[in-house]
Formats: sequence, C-alpha cells, structure tokens
Amino acid sequence: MTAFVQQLIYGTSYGMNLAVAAAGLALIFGVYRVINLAHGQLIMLGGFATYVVTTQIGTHFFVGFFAAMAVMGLLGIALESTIFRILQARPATDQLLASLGVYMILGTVALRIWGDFEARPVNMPGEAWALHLGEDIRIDGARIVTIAITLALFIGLYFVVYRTHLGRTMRATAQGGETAELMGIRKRRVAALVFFIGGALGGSAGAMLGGLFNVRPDMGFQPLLMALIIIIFGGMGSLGGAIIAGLILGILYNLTVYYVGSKLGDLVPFGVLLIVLMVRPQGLFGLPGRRA
Amino acid sequence: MLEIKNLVLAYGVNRVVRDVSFSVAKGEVFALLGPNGAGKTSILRAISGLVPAVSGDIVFEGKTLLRRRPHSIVLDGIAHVPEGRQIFPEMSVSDNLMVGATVHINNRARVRELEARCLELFPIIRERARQAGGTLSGGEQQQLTIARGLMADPRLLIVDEPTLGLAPAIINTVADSFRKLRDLGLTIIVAEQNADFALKVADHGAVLASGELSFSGSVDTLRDRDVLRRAYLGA
Amino acid sequence: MRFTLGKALVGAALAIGLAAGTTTAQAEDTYKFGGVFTLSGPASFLGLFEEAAVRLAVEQFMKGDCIVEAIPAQPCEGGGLKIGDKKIPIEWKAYDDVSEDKKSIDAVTRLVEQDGARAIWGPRMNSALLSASTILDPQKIISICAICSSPAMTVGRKYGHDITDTGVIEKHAIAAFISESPDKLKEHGIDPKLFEGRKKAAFIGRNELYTVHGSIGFQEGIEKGGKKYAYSHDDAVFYPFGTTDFAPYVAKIAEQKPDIVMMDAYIIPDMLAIMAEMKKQGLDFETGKVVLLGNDVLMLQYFVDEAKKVNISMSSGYVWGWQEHNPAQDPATLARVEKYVKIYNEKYGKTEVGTSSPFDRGAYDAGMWFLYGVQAAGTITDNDAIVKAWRGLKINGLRGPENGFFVRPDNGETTGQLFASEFIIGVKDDKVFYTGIKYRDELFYGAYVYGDKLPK
Repeated sequence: MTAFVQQLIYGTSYGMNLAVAAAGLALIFGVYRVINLAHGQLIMLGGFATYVVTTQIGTHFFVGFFAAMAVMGLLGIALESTIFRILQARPATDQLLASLGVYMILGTVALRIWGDFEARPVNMPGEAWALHLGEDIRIDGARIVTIAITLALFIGLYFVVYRTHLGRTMRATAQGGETAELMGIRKRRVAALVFFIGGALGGSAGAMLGGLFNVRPDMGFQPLLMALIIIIFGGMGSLGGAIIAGLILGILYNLTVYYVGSKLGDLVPFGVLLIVLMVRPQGLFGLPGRRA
Repeated sequence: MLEIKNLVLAYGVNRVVRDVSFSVAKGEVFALLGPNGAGKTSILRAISGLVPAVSGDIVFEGKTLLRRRPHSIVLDGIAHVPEGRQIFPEMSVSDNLMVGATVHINNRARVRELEARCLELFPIIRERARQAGGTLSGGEQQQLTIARGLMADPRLLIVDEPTLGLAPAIINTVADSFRKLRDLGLTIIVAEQNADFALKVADHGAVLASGELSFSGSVDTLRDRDVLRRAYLGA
Repeated sequence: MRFTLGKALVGAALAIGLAAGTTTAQAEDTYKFGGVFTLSGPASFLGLFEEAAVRLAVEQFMKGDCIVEAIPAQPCEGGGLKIGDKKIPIEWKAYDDVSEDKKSIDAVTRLVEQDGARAIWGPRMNSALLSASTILDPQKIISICAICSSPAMTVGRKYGHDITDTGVIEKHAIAAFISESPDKLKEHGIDPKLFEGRKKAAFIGRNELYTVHGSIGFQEGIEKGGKKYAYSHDDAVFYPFGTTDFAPYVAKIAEQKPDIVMMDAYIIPDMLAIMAEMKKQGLDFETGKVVLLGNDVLMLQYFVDEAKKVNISMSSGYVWGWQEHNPAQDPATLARVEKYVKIYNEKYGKTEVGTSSPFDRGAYDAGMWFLYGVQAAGTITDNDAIVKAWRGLKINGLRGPENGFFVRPDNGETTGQLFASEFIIGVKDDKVFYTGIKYRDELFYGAYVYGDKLPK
C-alpha cells in the first residue's frame, strides 16, 4: 500500500509536469491549428534559460523561472511570425514537418552550445527537505513546489482564457477563425498572444524539469511525446482535459513501471493513444466540436 | 453610402464576380438576390476584406475598402453576419455577444449601452445568456448572430442568407427584426436566395446570375414576377 | 536495326569492360577503406572523435609519422602501405548516418559497391551494426569498431573486429571484483569489510542491447564468482531513452532492497539524475547503505568533478568501477600518449571534435593496428590474408603495451575481439585512483565470447 501511494505521488508530480508541457501545445493547436513539435525544444531551452539565469548568473529560482517564460514566449512569437504564418495556408502535414525541422535545428544548436556532458543543476526551492507521511512515504519538497506552480499556472491560464476579453478572442478564433476576424478580432495579434503563452508555458515546464532534475539538451523529447498524447487524450485544445489527462498518464506511467515492468513504461502512452483513437475514431484532426 | 464599382473577384483563375457595380444608399435595406453560386457571398466577403479584389473598387463613405484588414473595416462601421450563422458553439451566448464588441471593448460604457440595445431588440438572448451558443435553435442562433454584429455598433450591417434553413414562422420574426433595425437608422445589405423574404424587407435590390449583374433597381420593379424570373434565369 | 542493336551491345560491353578495368587498376593503386559514423545531430559526440582519430591514423601513415608500433615490427615510412616494393596510398572516406539505421546501411552499401571499400569502420548503433555485419561478413568485407562494446561484432563473424571491451566482458570484471575475498581487498588497501554482509545486487541501465548484454554478463560474473550475491537478469531495471523523471525506476530498484547497485549508464545527465534519486530514496552510496558500481564513464575524473557540482560525493569508499585504460602507464606508453594528445589537440581541439579522451586514443590505436595488419598481409585485396595477418600482430599502443586479440583456449582460434584488460578504479578525496587490481584472462568466458550464436 505504501509503495502504491508513493508511486501515486511520483506520478502526480510527473503528470503535473507533463500537463504544463501539454497545455502550451494544446493552446496553440486549439487556436492556431498547428501541432507545434518545436514545443519540445522550447521546454528544453526553457530549462537552459533557467540554468543560465538561476545558476550561472546566480539569482533565485523564480527569477530564472520567469525569465524562461518570457524568453520562450518571445521565441514562440518569433517562430509564429517567421515560419508558421507562412505555412498557415498549407496542409497540416507541411506545418507538422516544418515544426519537426525547427525541433531538430533547435536541438542541434543547443547541443553545439552546451553539449551533453555536464552537470547543470538548477537550485529549486524545497530541494533540501521532504515531507514524510508515516514511515515510508516521502514527498520531496521540490515536487510539492512543482505541483503548486502547476496549479498556479493552470489557474492563471484559466483566468486569462475564460475570464478576460483576450481569452474570448482566443476562444472565438479557435471555434471559428474567419468569423472571429469579421467581429474585428486581429488574427495576427491573437496568433502572437497564443504563441507567447504557449511558449511561456513550455519555458515554465522546462524550468521545473530543470529544477527537479538536470538541464540537458534532450530533455524536451519525452515531455513532447507525452504532451502530444495528452492533448489527443484530453481533447484537442482543452485545458481542463490537459491537466486531467496529464495526471492520469503520469500516474499510469509510474504504476506500470513499478508494478508491471520497467521496460513497459513506454507502452503506456502508446497504449492510451491506441485506445483513445479506437474509442474516438475521429482521431487527431476530426474531434467533435471542431468546425471546418 | 457604399458603392461597388466594376468589381471583379476571382478564386485562382476562376472569375466568380465579373464587372459588378451597384450602390447602396444610407438608411435603406438593399437585397442582393440570385441563385446559389451567383457570387453574392463573394461580394460580401470582399466588402469585409476577406477576399481581395482583382479589379474595380469598393467605396464606403468616400473611402476605399480595398487592401484593408477585416478588423479595420469593422472599426469603420461595417459589421458582417456571415452565412450559416457561425456562432461560436462552445462559448456562452453572452460571450458570443461580447466578441462582437471587440473593436471598442475598452469603452465599457459604450459596450453596456450596446448590450442593452441588443437585449431589448432580442429578449431571447437575455434568457439564454449562460447557455452555450451551440445549444440554441436555428432561429435563436440567427438572432444571436445579428445581435453580435450589432455589438460592433455598425452603420452598415451585412447579413448573408439569414433565412437559410429556417422555418417560415421563424423567417417572419427575422423579417420583423430587420424592420426594427432599419428604424434604428441602420443601412443593411442582405444577400438572399429567398426572394420572398428579400422583397418583404428590402427597398432596393440587385440580382446576380453567374457572377454578373442582371438587374438593379427598386424592389417594386422586382415584384413583377417576369422581371425577377428573367433576372434569375439571365434571359 | 539488328546492326544498331549489335553495336549498342558491343558498346555497352566495352563500357562495362573499361569501367571494370578502371576499378581494378584503382584497386591496385590505392587502398580504400571507409567509415559510417554519426557526425551530425544529437549523437554526433559519439562519432566525431572516432572518425577524427582514424583519419589522423591514416594521415600519419601517409606521412610516415606513426606514434604506435606493431609487434613484430612493421615499417611506417610514409607514402602509404608498403606492400612488397610498392607504396600504396590509403584512401579514407567517411559518411554521416545522422543516427539513423537506414542511412547507416545505405552508407555501408555505398562504401562497398560504389567506393570499393575493402573494410568498413562502424556503424555504432546496435541495430545498424547487426545488419551491417550480416551484409559485410558474407562479402568478406572487414568490419571494425573501436567503441561498439558489442559482441554482435565478433561472435559468429569471421571478418568482424571489436577493438574495445564489450558490455559483457566489463561486467565480468566488476562482478569478479565484488566476489573477491577480504584478503585480496586488504592486500590492495581496500576495506576488507566492504562487501561483508551484502547479499543482494541490482542493476539499472537504459533500455538498449548494450545494457541487456551487460546485465547478462553481470549475472554470469556473479555466478562465476561463487554466487555471493542474489542477482538475476530478470530483475534488471531498464529505463527508456529520453527519461527525465527517474523516480519510478529507482523505486523499482529500491523495492529489491539491494546492497549493491550496478548502474550501467554512460550518458552523464542520466547518471547524475539516477544517483540523486538514489540518495533521495535511501539507496545511499555516500553512507555505505549500498555499494554503487559503475562503468568507465563513472570512473572518469571528469565525471567525479561533475557529480561534485550537484553535491554528489563519490569519495565514500562505496563507489567502484573500472577503466579499460591502464591509469598507471609505463613510461613508454605515457610518452606515446603525450605526443599523440599534443598532435590531436592541435588538430581538433578547437573544432567540434574537441580535445582528446581515452576513447579517441582507442580508435587511433585500432586504426594504426589495422593498417599495420594490411601491410603485414602483403596484399590489399585478399581479406582472408589480411584478417590472419592482423590478428597475428600485437600493438604497443596508447592503451598500453602488447595489446592483442583474444585467442580461444578451446580451439586455439584467434578471434576479432580485443583481449581487453579491465582495471578496477575507486574514488578517494574526489580523485579517481587505480586499485592495482586488474583482470584480463579470467574475463573471457560465456556465450557472448565463445558462442557461435548469441543467447536471446
């Protein structure tokens, strides 16, 4: 029982990380209709931004955290205005491939600059202590901090999307892009906003992963993969879906690794993907509620 | 108020509107008639800046609308209620309404005024305010889209196929709301396949057939069935 | 019509004949061999240095400036391979596989069919390596790798050469070490109680063929050492590529309540993350709760320094591993290494290849050794003769004196597997040190060394 609870805790913390990674992807897909694979590298670069600001310059974790959000938000805008805007009229596959190209380029650049041979710690609040429940269950302080940050980010995101006019314009664009334009919504401004928030969420996921673990050039890969599955699982573009699907996937992953077999952890996301696609055969590009 | 001059529109090499000219006077309801595929929607989309003109001009209150972004055309006082109603299905009715007010959302007093006007014109919106837009009936949705257009406080309202798919009883309520809008001093362009509806609400009209203008004049003339038939058939 | 066709046929035949003639002429003029490495993309750090080192070996052979010597001696006069009275220039060509199996195999095929290569270096990735071997061996093309660490190179292959240890052999070594008697430990200045009362061993590594072989080798080694520890390959914990959160994997090891943990990872961020998580979950190697075993990357001074940066101390006396390179070299070897490192760093130090490490030295040794082997065979076309001559040579290389190939005692056959030594390393006061314990002869046993087919 204690082992089970312990794995639930690990799974929750991991799932929260994944949910933040997925939220940015979901937002961009929901409004802009592009699956931005480069998001994985925004997560990674967010980790490096935090490393540079927090560790190398020597500031508090949250200074690096917000710097990562800001820089990755701006990088998101840059990607939208240089690459995705040009490809927006093209088929979805072109955009997907272009974003994969960006993923590779950013990965190679990071590897060239930083390499994969070094310890790159980011000091995070809560690292030094842990909460003990009974004899055997422990919750690392840093994981508690991560969960708290995640909840705060989701509350903030919910507020922006559902309680402000900016959020209304994003939702309107998501549900009918051309109609939204006819209502006087500036398409490019919404696009920039969405890519900024998406990038910033990616950056924050990287900052948290970097704080919990080590900052490294390949740290965006698994979160990207899981995030893709989360947004399919949670309903494309749905924020509430992202957090729930992230939690389920994170917990399922940990329980599978622990109870079924370490080699089988990787099957969980793909198993979930298969089941979701079978139960909802509309698949990636045709979920209900989506208008042509 | 609005002048279309020798307008040519094309999708690729396919010219869907050829050399069309007409003008709409302030305060009138102008009907754009014609069968499906005649080019009505294309002209309306060109007015709103969604489709670029190949040649010709669109002049609103003395200024050309060509090469302008949709949001700046809305700012100038033209609201467009698109074909097929196009409400935002997963947003609440009141959110749908507020999206229409985007261009002056920061002027709270004005938004409140406009909202009050819409609720007075379309009381059903108040009743349904919290419901998702997608759960409204067809007639309710049509009222919502018109109200949403009015939230931009336009001087010219463009309505594309308002009666499409609506039951006759409901078409009458839509016609009523058109009259109310004209009483407010709005200029309206309505594109319709449904000639009966158009003739009921409009002052002037133009008939399009296969991208060309085949008739333009007063509605009284169009009431003569032969004129209308010739215009539709292009004979 | 008939006439025209006939003429065309004659023309075609002539063209083919000419082309064949040219190839033959070229084959006699130059010795061609080539490589397939990952030279760009995220895994390029595993390919650039090996290509650079082999290229350096070729250049030095052409210049007559070889740093290492063959036993029996072979000339290195410059101008190429000395075959009879002739000097045959060496041509080296390398392709980039971008870490993709398909590109790897394409490049291997291109090297053989278009470039006329008689020997192929690489590829490194396990799956590509396996398919390359099955293509090359029947065509009698020699295949070589200096960092592959895989028995797939050599077991059951006549032309495959693995010029490093393997994941199996090195695990035999560490298993032999933990099975040593307290007296032997004491003799080498190690706390004789280090392994007292320890009974359960565990294993964690990334999910790949190398670690699967490693785990099997670890189990074989424990069995051979008298079964002092409970360990079964079935208990090994493998994490997938790209893992960021190691908590569930470390929890799975912790669940086994091990006294000894073998961490078979070589990606530095993975290793640091696992070690940090082990400390959190009570598998503390700083206090001696567990003994942590690791490989030649764990036992790099560089790694010890990196670990210190994240507040992981490896100096408790409970962290042990091995190096394939003798850290206490004889003066002659040290002089060779010094000369080599100077040349290598001047040439590559400021490029993306980077400065010298033990890994490129192994690749350089292998390149030189092979070229001496071709020269010793006295032919550049007969690969059977080349394999025989090469395997008969030893080398005074950068890794130490008299490196040779492993000879199977059961049938006296020389294999393509380097007869590798493993040197047991520990850490004290944040510095790696050599214990003086080394293994070689006793490491070569089991299906992965002798087997004509690999166990599943």
